[in-house]
Amino acid sequence: MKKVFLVIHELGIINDVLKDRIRSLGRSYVFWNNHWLVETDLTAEEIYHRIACDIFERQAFFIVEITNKSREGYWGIMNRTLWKWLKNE
Amino acid sequence: MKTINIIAILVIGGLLGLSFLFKWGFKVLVDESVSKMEYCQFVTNIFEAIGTCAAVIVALFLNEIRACFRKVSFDIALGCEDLFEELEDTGGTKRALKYYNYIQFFNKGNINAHNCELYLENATFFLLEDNKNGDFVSVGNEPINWGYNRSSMIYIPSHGKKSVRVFEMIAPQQQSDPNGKEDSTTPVQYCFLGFIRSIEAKKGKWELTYCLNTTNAKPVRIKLSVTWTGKWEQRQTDMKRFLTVKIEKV
Repeated sequence: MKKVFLVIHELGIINDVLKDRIRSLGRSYVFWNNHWLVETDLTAEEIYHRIACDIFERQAFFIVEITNKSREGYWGIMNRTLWKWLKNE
Repeated sequence: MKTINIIAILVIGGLLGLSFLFKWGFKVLVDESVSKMEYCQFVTNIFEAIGTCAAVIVALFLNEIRACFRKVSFDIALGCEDLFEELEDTGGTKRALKYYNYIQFFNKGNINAHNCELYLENATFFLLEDNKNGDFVSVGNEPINWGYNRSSMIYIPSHGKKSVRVFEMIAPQQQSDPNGKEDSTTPVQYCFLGFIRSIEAKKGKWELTYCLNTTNAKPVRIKLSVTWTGKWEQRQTDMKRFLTVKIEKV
């Protein structure tokens, strides 16, 4: 079953290879250049190993699963496209 | 260049001295004619003296002479004369999420440029109507991360190039809470290389001076000018009339 993860990497890394690796995990949405929402059936550790191999081994990543339910799992004021993405519209 | 001039003066002076000695000196000193063998020996001695003198000069100024032939030299240019655009497709209509551009550093020298660091030295904003009095913005004194790894130092190989995204202009965004309430629109924003956070874009001109330092070449200063008339358009072909980006070596 697919879950939604928040993947955060260091702001200094703006690299097309990293972007492509994250996009290859599944449906994704990026905001603030280094915050990614990814829908995938992998675990957090598996996601890390997929994206951080080779040249990104020493970079900092934080990967956390988020609950895909409004009010319970997430809230705030953000771009409307983000809310549409979370609702899978 | 000073070293080259000194070397040239020494060599020319030495040759002039020898030619005077050869033309006039022997007429004073030597009354008798010399044999062919003595003449050849004399000419050989001249060449030996010149060679010894040149060897001493090269030994003393080896690094300076080498620097004239083996050096780093940068060609700096924007990635695109107009703008790059990042698009989103909303129901078949494409519109720009942001406009951006790169600076490209091309090392046209014959040696690698080592330990290259990029700094933002200063940033000034001018209102379009007033091109003289600008608002200076304080900038940090830390080297910029090139985006390749954690280190702010990279090397640029001979006849190689490195690029870094220098500026982004982010489209106004409609924001709300998850239920679509608390509706608001963010203003157009700039994101400049070296700035900690993005800033609200206003009608006017930004001038930013960057400095590229390397351990084996002189620093190179670049001035980036970004001018915006205040109007936002959805596509680059329309926006380029209202947003111009220029770069020049200082």
